[in-house]
This record gives sequence, structure tokens and C-alpha cells, in this order.
Amino acid sequence: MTKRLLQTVRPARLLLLATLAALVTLVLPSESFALVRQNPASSSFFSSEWETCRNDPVNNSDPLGLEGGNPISFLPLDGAALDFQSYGNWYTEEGYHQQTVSAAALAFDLNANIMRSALPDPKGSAQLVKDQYGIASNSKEGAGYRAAAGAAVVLGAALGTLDVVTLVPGKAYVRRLLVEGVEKVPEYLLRKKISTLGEERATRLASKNTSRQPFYVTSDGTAIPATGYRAIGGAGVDEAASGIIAPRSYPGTYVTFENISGMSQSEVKSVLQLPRTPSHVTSFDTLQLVDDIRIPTEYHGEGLFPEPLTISYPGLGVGQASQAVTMRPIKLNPNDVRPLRP
Amino acid sequence: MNKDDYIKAFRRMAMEQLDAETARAITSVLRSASPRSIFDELERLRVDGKIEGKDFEKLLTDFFWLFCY
Repeated sequence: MTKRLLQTVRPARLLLLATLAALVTLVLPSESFALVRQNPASSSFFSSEWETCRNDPVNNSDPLGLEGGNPISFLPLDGAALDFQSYGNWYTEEGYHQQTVSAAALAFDLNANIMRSALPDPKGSAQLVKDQYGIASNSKEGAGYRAAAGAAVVLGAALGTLDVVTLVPGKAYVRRLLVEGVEKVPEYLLRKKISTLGEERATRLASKNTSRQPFYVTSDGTAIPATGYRAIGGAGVDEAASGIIAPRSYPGTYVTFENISGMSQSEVKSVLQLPRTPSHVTSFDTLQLVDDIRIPTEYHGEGLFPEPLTISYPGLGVGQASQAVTMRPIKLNPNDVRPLRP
Repeated sequence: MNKDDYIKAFRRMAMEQLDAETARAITSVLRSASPRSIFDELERLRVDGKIEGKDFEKLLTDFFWLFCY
């Protein structure tokens, strides 16, 4: 009788112990270490600082999957405000959530200003909140939100997942999203998604979304705006009009995700910090570059640190426009080569 | 024109307009530097007025748009 009772209880006990062990594993960070962001001017990046992430390809101590990943993901964040004193915060403050979202929801989450998300805002904090539709949006307006969106991309290194992070000084709240493949998200889908929200909220979001554009989201969680732009001038105009822009030598052909087509020639020169004034602009589909495009290092590839926003040549303009490079030829529609207004 | 053609034209202009020592230095840059470094060096000479002329300016501009950006 006693033996039979023990046989009945033992599995239950084991289950209880296993549950407790799992809870301890979840609630307590396996390792706590400091991550100190440097000044954004230094353009230092997460990937180089998470020393413990290296030599750990299976993410035992790195459930965020911070090591590796596409370099375009490594946008600099709000350096002044971000001082991650404890990696464990993301476990203890809000808990760990995992859910599946469509690429559409993800693209909704990360707007066309994602590159601008790198702009530092030392005073701002970023908070992403998720609604019942799986859509993360900002609970605070302004640069903080953009920083959060950038963070989502920064941390989206693990295959098929993307970690949306709420960033406040000293804290990081993380949600892990499972991204479903590479998908171009048409504008109408985004609008449809918006329409499923409450009317007031939909109106607010729609008004904010007018300048948003679709993204390509790769399987490693990198979101890339679906439309690229390139300033051109001189003999480059005839080249673009031929329908293909030949690859440049290192660091590659420069593109931007800013819609510069509405800017004047001098404005484009200034935001892209160009030494020559462009006369034309062209746009193109970035799908052809999606697995090649990357962030150049500063000083035209001569610097040590990536430069997602133009900043290296302040004498040439205000900068702060997104930039990326590719070593691929860029195919485009010659009709998309348009003159910039003087 | 391909990149070598531009380099040859720049070398010729440098030899014509610069003193021997500077021309030698620039020729060395033209031979070994990256397109952007070549552009920056020639641009510096242009701004300083050491190499001038509309042909040179157009050539340098086209070189930038075709090879440096």
C-alpha cells in the first residue's frame, strides 16, 4: 500500500520540482553583468560589448540572441540615457513574453524612420506597449519611441525572432516576437491593421502613419525599408537613366532610406553630407539588396565604427540622414530618375 | 570613361599645374588610394586653388558620382 502510494506521489513530486526549477530559471537571471553604453558619438555598438555573448552560439546565456546578426541591425541607441546596469532587468521587471506576430504587424511597429531611431534623446525614455492585436506601439511620443523601434531592430539577431525592448535608463523590458519570414508588407495591409483598432486610436495612428512605408523583414529579424533612395549628379545621372547603377568599390554604393525626393538639391546635399550637390534622385526596390545591404563605417568606410546616420562630415551639412551601402548593382526603373528641385 | 581614364586625366592635370614635388605626391595618391581618398585630395587642391579649370571641376564631379559615392 505504502509502496503504491509512493509510486503515485513520486511523479507528482518530480513534476513539482521540475516546475520550481523552471521558475527559478525564468525569474532569476542566469548571469548578471553590466552593459555600459558609450556616448552615441562614439558609435559603439551592442555586439562588441556583450562579451559574454561570444562563445555561446546556442544562446544559453544570451536568450536575446545578441551575438552575430546582420550589421544593419546594429543601430546605435540612445547612448546617454542607456546604461544597462543589469541584464537581468528584462526578466524581473516585466517578465518574459514570447508570441508570434506577422511581418505586417512588425512593419507596423517599425516605421520608416527606423534609421532615425538612432538619434539620441538623452532625456527621453522609450516605451513600447502591445495591444490585443499583437501590435506594439509607443506609449510616449517622440524620439523615445523611435529609439525603442531601433532597439527592436538592434536586438533582433536571433533567427526568426525579434526582441522589442522598452528602454528606460537602467532598465530594459523585452518582448520576443517570432517573425514570419521575409515579406513585403503593402501599405494597404498596414492600413487594414490600423482599421481593426478603435476608431480614435486608428485615426491617431493613421495620421501618424502617412509617411510610413513597407519593410522587408528578414528571417534574422532585420527590418529594411522596402524603398531605397539615392542622390545622383554629374555623370551619375546618365548611369542611373540606363537602369542600373554599377557597384562602387569599398565601402560600396551609398543609399538612403530617407525619402529625399521632395527635398531641394541643397537640402539633399546637406542631410547626406555630400561634397557635391546632386541634381537628381532615384528610388528603387530594396529587395534586390536585402541580404547584402549594410551600414558603412564612418568617414566613408575609413572609420572604425558604423555610421547609420550621416555624421562624419559636419562641414558638408547637417547630416542625420540614414545611409547604407551595398556592393551589388542597383537595378531601377529609369522613370524613377527624377530631378531634384533647385 | 572608366576609372583609369579619370586617373590618367587627373595625373596629367596635376603634372601641368602643380610643382614637381606636389605633383609627385599626388601621382602617388592617384596610384594607390581609394577613390574617395583621391577625390578628397584633389578636392583639397581645388579648394586651395592649386588645380583649377572647368574641365578639372567637371572631371572631379563626375569622378565623385561615378566612383566615390
